[in-house]
Amino acid sequence: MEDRKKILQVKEDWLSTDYAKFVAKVPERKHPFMLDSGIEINPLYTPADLDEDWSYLERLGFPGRYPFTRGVYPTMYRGRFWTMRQYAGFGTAEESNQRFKYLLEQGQTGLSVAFDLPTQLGYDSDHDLAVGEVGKVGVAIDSVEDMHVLFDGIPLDKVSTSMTINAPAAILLAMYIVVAEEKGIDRKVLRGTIQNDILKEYVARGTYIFPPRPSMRLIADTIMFCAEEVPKWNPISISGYHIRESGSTAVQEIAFTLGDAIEYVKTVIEKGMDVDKFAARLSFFFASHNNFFEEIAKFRAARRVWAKIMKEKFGAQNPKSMMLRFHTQTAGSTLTAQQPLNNIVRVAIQALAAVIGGTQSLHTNSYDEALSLPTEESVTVALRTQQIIAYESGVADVIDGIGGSYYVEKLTDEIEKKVWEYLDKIEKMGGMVPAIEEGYIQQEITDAAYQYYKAVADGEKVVVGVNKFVDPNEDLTKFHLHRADPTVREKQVKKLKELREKRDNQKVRKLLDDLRKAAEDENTNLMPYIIEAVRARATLGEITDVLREVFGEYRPPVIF
Amino acid sequence: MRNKVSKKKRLVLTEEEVFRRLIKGDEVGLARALSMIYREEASSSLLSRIYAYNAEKKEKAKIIGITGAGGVGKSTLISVLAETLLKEDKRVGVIAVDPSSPKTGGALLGDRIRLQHLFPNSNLFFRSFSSRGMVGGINPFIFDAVSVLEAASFDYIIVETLGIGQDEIDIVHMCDLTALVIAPGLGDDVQFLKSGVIELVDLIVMNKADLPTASKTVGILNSYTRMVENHPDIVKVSASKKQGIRELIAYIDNKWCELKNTGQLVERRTTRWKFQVGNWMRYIVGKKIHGFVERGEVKPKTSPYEIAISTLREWGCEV
Amino acid sequence: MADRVVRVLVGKPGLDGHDRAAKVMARALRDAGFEVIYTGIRQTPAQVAQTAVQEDVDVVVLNNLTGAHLEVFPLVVEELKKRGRDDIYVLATGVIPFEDVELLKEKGIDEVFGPGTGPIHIINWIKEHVLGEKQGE
Ligand code: B12
Ligand SMILES: Nc1nc2c(ncn2[C@@H]2O[C@H](COP(=O)(O)OP(=O)(O)OP(=O)(O)O)[C@@H](O)[C@H]2O)c(=O)[nH]1
Ligand SMILES: [Mg+2]
Repeated sequence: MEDRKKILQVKEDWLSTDYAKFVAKVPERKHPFMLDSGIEINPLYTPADLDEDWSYLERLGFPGRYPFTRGVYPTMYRGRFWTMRQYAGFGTAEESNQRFKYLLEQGQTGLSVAFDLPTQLGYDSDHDLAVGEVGKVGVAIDSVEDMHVLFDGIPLDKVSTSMTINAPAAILLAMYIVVAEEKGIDRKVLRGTIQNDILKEYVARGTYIFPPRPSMRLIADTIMFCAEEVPKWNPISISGYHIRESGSTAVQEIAFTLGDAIEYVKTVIEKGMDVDKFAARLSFFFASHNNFFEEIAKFRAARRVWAKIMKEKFGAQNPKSMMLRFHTQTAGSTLTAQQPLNNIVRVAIQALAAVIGGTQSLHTNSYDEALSLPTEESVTVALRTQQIIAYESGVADVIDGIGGSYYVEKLTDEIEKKVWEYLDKIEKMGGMVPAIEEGYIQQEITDAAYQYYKAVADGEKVVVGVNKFVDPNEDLTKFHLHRADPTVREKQVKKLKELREKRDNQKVRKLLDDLRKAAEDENTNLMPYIIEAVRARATLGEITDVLREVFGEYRPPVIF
Repeated sequence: MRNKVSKKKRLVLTEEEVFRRLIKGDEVGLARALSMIYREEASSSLLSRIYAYNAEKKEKAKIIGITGAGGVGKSTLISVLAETLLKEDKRVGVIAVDPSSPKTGGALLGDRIRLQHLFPNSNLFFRSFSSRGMVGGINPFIFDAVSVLEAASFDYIIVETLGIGQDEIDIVHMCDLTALVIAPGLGDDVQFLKSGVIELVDLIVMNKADLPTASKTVGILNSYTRMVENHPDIVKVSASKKQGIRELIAYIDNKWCELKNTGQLVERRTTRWKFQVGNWMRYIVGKKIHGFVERGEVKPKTSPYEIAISTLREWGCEV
Repeated sequence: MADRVVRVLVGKPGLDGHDRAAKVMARALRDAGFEVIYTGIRQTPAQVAQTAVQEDVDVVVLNNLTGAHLEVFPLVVEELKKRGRDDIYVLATGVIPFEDVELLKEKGIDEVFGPGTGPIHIINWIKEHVLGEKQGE
């Protein structure tokens, strides 16, 4: 490489002459240019802008090798594209099953299930609090019978299935296993993911049920159970997506997610499992937002920080334990109700950043994001966007094609530095659980969200179609929107009634009682008990109620 | 979007209706009485009726002040206190004061959220106030608000205030019993201890006892209280883990009964009443002074003292 | 007499956990000079209504992004009526499809602010209806 000093010298010269003269004539658009993460953007980056001790082998290395900055696999997309996985689910299991089949026919390569809110909160459809909520924003699942319908005709031994389920994740996983087994498929071959990340529910997503301690135990139980019994399953997807969508910065997204991850790893190790026995199956989930370079750098930094944490903090030996594998979703909160077609472009840019950033799977949002759940038409455009990036853009033909960009490398380093600062602070607070109980994390996110809002409201941050290039004659009523079927609750209530009449209620009561006793002993793994209850057709609500009785319900501090 | 809706007519209650409803514990009347007081819309005769009514009442409410630095867990503590008391069929009224923005006058009234899960409940009443319109930290409204709640027959009236300095001292005069809440690891604590509040409060609640650093804070605290004669007891609790709450209530109940039996309660309430007279005078005169200063002519050649004296004399003050 | 300060309750009835907009908007309403109370998520209509009554607010801004508005918002109106306070303005915000606007109004919601409506519209509406201040666009 050329002499660092020499480059700096010439750069100084350029800044004070050519650059300065130009600025004097045509002033720059902003003073200073800033990323939301609080990093200032210089006009230009050169090799000399990297740290003096910057080392290619240490900071980047090679794909599939520590510290995985350039990617977790040696060939990346030259072998196989990322998994194209659109989040879907609404109404009854029948309706959602139709949508799944449609998406698979269109070339989608994995499934991703959205559950309705009663399911996510452990209420059966006939619960009082489920009024107006059943099947609205996801599929309603009350028992393993619904789950059978949901996956009817879908080869569970071939397709991988991601389920966005958290507080009752163990129950839905149990249902998936029982469905597979009743179809004659061995649990050992099942591939997929449960989100199962409770800590971010407390600060960003809102579907928590139990207090932190029993919740962490349930998570440890599923991780340890899967390590032995369902070895190809990702028992957790540690999620920054929801933190980011709550308004955090890119740095906060990574810092708080890795902070959560540290907590999960600690918990399982404390339960006596060797780190290399489970860490390879931890997976992650991030957002891809608007700022193209910042997002790419963010993904690269996240991989590097996680690798260091696993190696240095937890002493992992297996390189797989150090790999940060992640799913990405484009940032819904950047998508506007105004001029919905513009969203297609935003999603394309964000998806491109995720792919260049090395994601393992991707959901692209639909252009009607701000208006309703996607229609078949809008979700198809979203899927096509991924297919165009994969097959036409050429970015997937090389590994980490942007690596070595002076700007992106510098940003990767700076983001990493800021992430460590947060992680140190959180560690001083005693880890993520106290930091959440104290409301610190929520405060940080809420403040960032407010700043973002202010910047848009003041016009400092331009959102095309919203605060600039507004179309005063816009008519949004022309868009055909998805409508929820209002009769889903009725149908589910009827099914529940029939189920409760048909099943062996005595057996259900006994199995629920066994579960209660098991729950009272912190050292018993609950998964086998839940599976048996599910198999006997105990409902989601009944199982959750037992756990509610033993664990209690939690209310995290609300900071606003 | 500018679809014309016919304007709604906001519910209007006469003072007579307000009074009749509030002494029955009716929430609409009670809530409105508080609004009227806070907006300075209540006449002195309504207030006098309330005071007269309370003076006649046999069953006195226990008026408990909860103060302490921001974030020590006052609201969380109040929520678990209320939860426990409600289970014992007690009626609980809570007043919380949050600062308002001096620039816009707006405020986020955030204390309520910590006990929102206890609603709906006809035995629990919560009212959030902003500190808006308070002259020099003195706030006659909150005093009167407490009297309104007393007229509505609550067993416990809990007042939460925040801040360092004047406000805390006020709360001591406003309540029968005042607890200073502290928590480990908050820089403000030491300032609290130094401000002398410790000599005025009836007990110190050491919250967040679940945190690992709690014992260190108790150590610091002890070294301070040792220097204070008749220093208040320290009660350790964890509001978020609901530990030590029943004990805290027992402590408060005992202390209150002791005050009552020794005649100190009457004494405190007399002081409270007198203090409130002073409060109103300071508030009214303070506002007059504020207005005068804002409008007043500038005469740089005259001493400010002379203007002050001559104006006060003009107003009929013997100074 | 002190200046009339508008009191607003931001309420989240239903199981919806989206709270970013509610929290950010609470701050925006404060910046507009209002006193703002927020219920937090997962409230029943009765919880929201009792809060509105106790706090004697001028306006309740209901917020729901997950499609329960048609069922849940009118229940808040009913609960307010039951408590003798249906004079309080009730506004609806969130992901509300156009065709639901009239349905909500029929059920006692005073105005609906659907996707993409900035808070300034809500603030102006409140100033106009509560304070009687005509707002220039
Ligand atoms: C951010 C977001 C999330 C975040 C929420 C983070 C949080 N803590 O709030 C996360 C990722 C966690 C999330 C999760 C889910 N989400 Co979501 N989410 C969104 C998203 C992308 C943006 C909403 C947002 O906060 N925007 C930022 C705010 C500031 O802007 P705004 O909402 O547009 O509000 C403006 C105005 O409307 C007005 N306003 C709005 N509210 C208020 C209130 C007051 C008081 C005032 C004055 C003004 C006002 O002012 C604002 C600023 O101009 C929307 C889609 C979209 N683009 O709108 C989907 C969306 C709301 N989500 C949706 C769904 C389905 C979900 C899930 C239920 C999915 C599932 N099955 O699991 C989950 C579950 C969440 C839960 N617990 O309830 C759907 C709802 C579909 C429907 N109603 O038909 C949407 C529409 C996306 C979609 N098209 O599918 N989500
Ligand atoms: N660890 C721990 N945290 C607590 C405890 N009590 C409250 N907290 C947390 O402390 C933070 C502040 O609690 P609040 O109850 O809002 O405190 P406050 O004193 O009312 O705060 P202000 O009203 O802002 O002055 C919240 O995050 C609570 O969850 C406790 O006993 N232990
Ligand atoms: Mg408080």
